[in-house]
Amino acid sequence: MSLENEFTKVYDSLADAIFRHCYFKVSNKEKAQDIMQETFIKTWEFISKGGKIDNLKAFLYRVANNLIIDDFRKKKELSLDRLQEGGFEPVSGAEEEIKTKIEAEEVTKVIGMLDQEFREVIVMRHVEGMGVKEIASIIGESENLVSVRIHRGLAKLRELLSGPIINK
Amino acid sequence: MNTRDFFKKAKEIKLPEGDLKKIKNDLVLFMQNHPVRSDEPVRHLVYRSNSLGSLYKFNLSFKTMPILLILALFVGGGASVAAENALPGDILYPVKVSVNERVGGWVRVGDEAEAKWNVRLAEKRLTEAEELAVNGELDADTRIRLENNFQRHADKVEVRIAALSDADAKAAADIASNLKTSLSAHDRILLSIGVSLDGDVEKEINSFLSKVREEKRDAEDSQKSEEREAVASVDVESAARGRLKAAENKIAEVEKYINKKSEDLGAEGSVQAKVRLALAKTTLAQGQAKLESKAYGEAFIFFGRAHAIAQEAKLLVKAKIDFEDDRPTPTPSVIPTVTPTVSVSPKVTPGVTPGASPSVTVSPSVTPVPSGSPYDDDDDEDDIKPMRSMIKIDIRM
Repeated sequence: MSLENEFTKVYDSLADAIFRHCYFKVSNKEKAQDIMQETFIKTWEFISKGGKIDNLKAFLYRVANNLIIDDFRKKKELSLDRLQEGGFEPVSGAEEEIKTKIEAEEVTKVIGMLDQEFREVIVMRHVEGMGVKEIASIIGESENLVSVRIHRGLAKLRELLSGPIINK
Repeated sequence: MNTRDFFKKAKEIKLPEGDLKKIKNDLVLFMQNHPVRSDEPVRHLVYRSNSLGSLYKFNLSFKTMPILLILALFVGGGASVAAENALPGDILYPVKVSVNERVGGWVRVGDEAEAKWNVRLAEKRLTEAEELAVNGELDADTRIRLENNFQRHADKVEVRIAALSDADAKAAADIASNLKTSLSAHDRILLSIGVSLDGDVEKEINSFLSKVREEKRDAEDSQKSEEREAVASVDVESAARGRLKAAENKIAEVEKYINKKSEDLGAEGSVQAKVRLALAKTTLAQGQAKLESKAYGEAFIFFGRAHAIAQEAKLLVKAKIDFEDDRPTPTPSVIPTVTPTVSVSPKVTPGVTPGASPSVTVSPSVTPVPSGSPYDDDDDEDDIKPMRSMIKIDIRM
């Protein structure tokens, strides 16, 4: 299979995950979409110039993270921890989509309340279904650290979910 | 809300199909306008500079290349070519592992390619261990090193299979199947070798063997679940037909191979190999019957089995030819330089007779060992390097 075919297959399998990763960090659908696209484009650019990639998944996440950081630097008035307005815009006014929008906002809110270090590993582990080893290789930390973070993050999440915020 | 529901909701956060497709189309367009440049080793070195780093602003943590790598690249790969056949312990082995395997690994992208590459690397470590064992050179340190390396690659394969699973369950199943087939063959090879050798080497072999068996079980589990997923996916018919083609090609290839090697293999070996191949053909026929009755999922699995049986036959035949040797190897390390005060020959013969061919009792010409050498020890059969004639790779079903 050609490199191009391989890469488009990778897009198929990882686009959603990368989008979600970006979305939970920038809290804006359009922005997350742009960054996700830019991530794949920049990665291909690197490959087309003959660059070597040991671990493509990790590479993509790293590129995405750096683009996110760039974006925040451009808009200095935003703080990483503050939630932003804007979620999904329903294509039509259908009830289903409004429901989805509300749920997505809920999820975003809760995730936004987790500390940054927990956010990432929790999403990777329980939303994207990655293994501890893989997560460790992507974020460049030890497996032990990752396991501990997941454990603590889950505890924090449970606390949040049973707290007053959800029952508004 | 409990965490499980929460994650379920989180997973539903995704871009609508239309948006995903549009982005993909834009990406494909971009890829067409930026084709991959051809491989030029020197360029890779050039790009390992800060100019690229500043473009992307993050630390591409390339491992610092050993001097040998740089030399090998500029000198035109002479060293790396010579290193290809090196075994651990040879001077060129470090060059082999870091140069050849990294050079071979450049510009590989995608889970499938990575998985296949890691399968190859895992297999390489196994054949290295087998070669060393057959030469009586597999000590604990080397074995541990090879084992860890093998484990690392086998783990990578598993991770890639899991990652590949969503996008292409069929490819994931194929890779898991190949890995399992290879490990089955090596299981048998290691066993055969271990049985023929003396205590210390056998111990190392057995340790490796249990690792191999563990990985084999994992690969088998992966294969089963990936096949289930592949079969549950939309286009099973074309997947089954694809596997049919692959199996037919493999069987033809192995048949040619067995015929070509029939002299080296000997009568007994040829018969055993052909029995295995016949089983592959029957399994293929069973698959074809399923295909005709439109049971595409089952056909898919049968064709995979047929392919695996043929592949395993080839691996075993190859091992049999490589590792078995009916000529006795003389013990070259016992070269006389001193007066024959210590006579070892009477002790040599008993230790070697079991199963050995008559010409092994070459003791009269095994000149006595100079005193003070490690071969002085009494009753130490381990000092004699295992005769290849004792290695018997059993390829019967």
